Amino acid sequence: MRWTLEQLAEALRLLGSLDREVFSALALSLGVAALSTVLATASGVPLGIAIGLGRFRGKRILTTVLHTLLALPTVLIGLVLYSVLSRRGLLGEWRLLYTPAAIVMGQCVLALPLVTALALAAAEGVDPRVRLTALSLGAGRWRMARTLLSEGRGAFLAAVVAGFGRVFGEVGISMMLGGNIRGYTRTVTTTIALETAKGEVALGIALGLVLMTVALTVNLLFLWLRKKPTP
Amino acid sequence: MMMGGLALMLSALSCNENPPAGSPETGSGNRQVIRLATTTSTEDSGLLERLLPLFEQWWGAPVHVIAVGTGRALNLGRNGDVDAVLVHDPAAEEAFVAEGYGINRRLVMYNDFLLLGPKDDPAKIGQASGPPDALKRIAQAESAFVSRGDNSATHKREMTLWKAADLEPTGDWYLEAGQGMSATLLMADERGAYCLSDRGTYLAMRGKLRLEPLFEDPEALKNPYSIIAVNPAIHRDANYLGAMALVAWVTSPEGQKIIGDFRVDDAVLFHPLAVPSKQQGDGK
Amino acid sequence: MTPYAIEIRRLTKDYGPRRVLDIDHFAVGTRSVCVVVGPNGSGKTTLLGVLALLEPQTAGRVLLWGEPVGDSPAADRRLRRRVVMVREQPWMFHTTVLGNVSYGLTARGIGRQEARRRAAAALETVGMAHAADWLAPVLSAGEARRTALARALVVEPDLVLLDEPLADVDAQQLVNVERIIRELPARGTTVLVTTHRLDAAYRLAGRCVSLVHGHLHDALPDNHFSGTIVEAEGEPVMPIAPGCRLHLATPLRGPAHVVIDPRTVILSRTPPASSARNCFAGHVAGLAVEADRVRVTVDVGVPITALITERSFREMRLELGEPIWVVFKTLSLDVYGGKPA
Repeated sequence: MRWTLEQLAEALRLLGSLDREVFSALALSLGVAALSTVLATASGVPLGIAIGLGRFRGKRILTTVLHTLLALPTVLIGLVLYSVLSRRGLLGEWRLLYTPAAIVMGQCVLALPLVTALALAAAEGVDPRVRLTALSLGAGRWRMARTLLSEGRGAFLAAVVAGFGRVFGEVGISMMLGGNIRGYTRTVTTTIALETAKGEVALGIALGLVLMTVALTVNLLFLWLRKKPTP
Repeated sequence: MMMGGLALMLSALSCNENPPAGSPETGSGNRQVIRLATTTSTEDSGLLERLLPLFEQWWGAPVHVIAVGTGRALNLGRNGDVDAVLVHDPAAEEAFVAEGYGINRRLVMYNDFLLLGPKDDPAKIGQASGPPDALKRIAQAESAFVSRGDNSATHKREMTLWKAADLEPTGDWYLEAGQGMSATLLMADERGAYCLSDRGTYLAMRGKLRLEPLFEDPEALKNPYSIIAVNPAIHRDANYLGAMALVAWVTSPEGQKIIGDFRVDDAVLFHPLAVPSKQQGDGK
Repeated sequence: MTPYAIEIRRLTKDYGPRRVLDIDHFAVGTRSVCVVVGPNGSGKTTLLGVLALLEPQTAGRVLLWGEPVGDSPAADRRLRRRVVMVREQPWMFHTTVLGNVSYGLTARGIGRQEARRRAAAALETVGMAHAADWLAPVLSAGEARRTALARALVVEPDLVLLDEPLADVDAQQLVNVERIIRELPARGTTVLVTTHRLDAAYRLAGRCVSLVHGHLHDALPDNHFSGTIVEAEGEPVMPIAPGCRLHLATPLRGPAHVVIDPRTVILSRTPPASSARNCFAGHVAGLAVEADRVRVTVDVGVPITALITERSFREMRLELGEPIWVVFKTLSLDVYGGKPA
């Protein structure tokens, strides 16, 4: 017990003396997480709405598959994408392996099922009267989608937040596709993994605290966004 | 579109020695990035942090180091995902070159392996006659032993020693960590078990371990490191020029001196191999 | 050019095993108001839903301005643009009142400025102009209903379907809303209103139909009397025929409607010696057998309908033309409309 507390105390002390490398890692973590969240949202939300509102055969099966994809381990995603992005792989020519772009790709794959599944639930959860009222007032498909997003904004925003949270804190993909290259693809999470493997527990905790503080800040931003009334 | 956005983002992000200039693949002077695959133990020793910046300054391009297990490092070389490899597994290295994936293999440095264990040395390996004998004693005493278990150079060396002792390690006392050297050491430390480690990682971790080196044999447990450039004939867009520059530099008197001067807690970690000791003065 | 805005032929609508609508024929002329009266659960909302192209019919033909509904999505889209339905509990979008009312206009491609201008004018007519900037979900039921009405009317639809538009609207605004509805045909709009309030039905329109258990009747329920409640000897009464006055127990006075449930009407060959004040002499004018009961129409100056069991009928051996008394308790009369004295 005492050792744990000591490590915690040391971690808090270390917070004061974090160096440039940590900020570089933090900026990278934020950057890739933000970009992958944006991409996953841009594709996942419309997809989720389309499936959620759709009435077609196999909808249940599709939804089940989607939910199953939520259990994809990050290392598996990393492994599959590695074989695709490797110079010998399908997309080897793009030379994306061990760059931040590869991390973004992997994190997109990670976040996409999550955002889609939650957007699906959000679309289904919107009061059916919304759709009927909008339809009755002459809303076409695009207006309808905008209206659904607006009426269900809480749930849709939650989908985005969940997606961000998932990728911001992941390490398997960053490690396998980024390579944990110092100064280039070293994120906060891979740094934590590295330092912890070297036994630097206090530093690992300190970095974890930094990570969670940033996550908290981002979520406060989301909260503020949610409160704004629509135009 | 993605690359453009990424380039923008990365320019804003990088606050390391790599000066931002357009595409992340370019250094300050139009030199392409050099990708080096090495083992976790090499990276964990801290040598590369001392060695590479000077090279990068001189050559004018960043070196991206990807630290994985030996097997994987060589695979990265085979796949062309890196431009050069720095590993310490002579048998595997020879196969790598023989298969045509690597060229210009140069010995860089060496250190040695140690057998670490709990202070009271229950298996009494301190009195062993040689590495196989030490392992035999551990097996007979059924003292806890933590192995890398990941087909790394260290692990393969360990297996060679078991074979030399005519033993197959099995039983509750033999644990396979499946992780890097540092993590494996921590596990062994936690359990008060024996462990085979390279000196470099041990010295780097010394402050956190209660384990002590109980058996040393610098000759029998010698651990030589080589650097190999990836063959551009197989991978046309490998940065052969950069790889060769790196090979040349680490085996140059300047590079070798840095290696020889590298200390962790006042202890020598690596012994330069490429340049005869006579030329750099005190080599040992 | 068809004179009918709505035409229904052999329409059925089922929800699973339950048949909710079963209408043989129904037509509503253009530029008119038609009121559908019926109790809750009679299928009024479903009928409007089908006419608004929000729900497909199970079988039958629905024609709007002569065009069939359900033939093609493109045709449906076109028709839907001309029809607006206002629900009993309208959904308010999560935006301001003005934003809600502008919705239909912007959905049709009208610019925001212009849409807001028209929306503001529409709010004025329903008396909600003061609430333009309020967030719509906080409105009271009556306010929401008026806002929904404005939202529907601002797009100037050719057909407006209103589901219980007068419920929850306070007395002040009631007159206003009724006036708006009555004036719609003059602007070229056809209106179909559902309500369970008989007094409103008569005030709104010339044409009233009743919907009971999915069946449409071109007349209103039995024993429905319109008149004026006056005081006679200190008691409220409504004259319904020469020498025939309904005795009521109500504080309401003035123009009103009274309905007598046929099941509470008692038939007697002899003058009844009971506490009931409402007893009238007449003769049997009509007999109709319905399943296990018999509908007896008695002419007391106006027709009064009684519903008796088949057994009672057989025991009484009623015959057409036979003199008979009808009796019912004052308390079994439902009074609609009127104002407190």
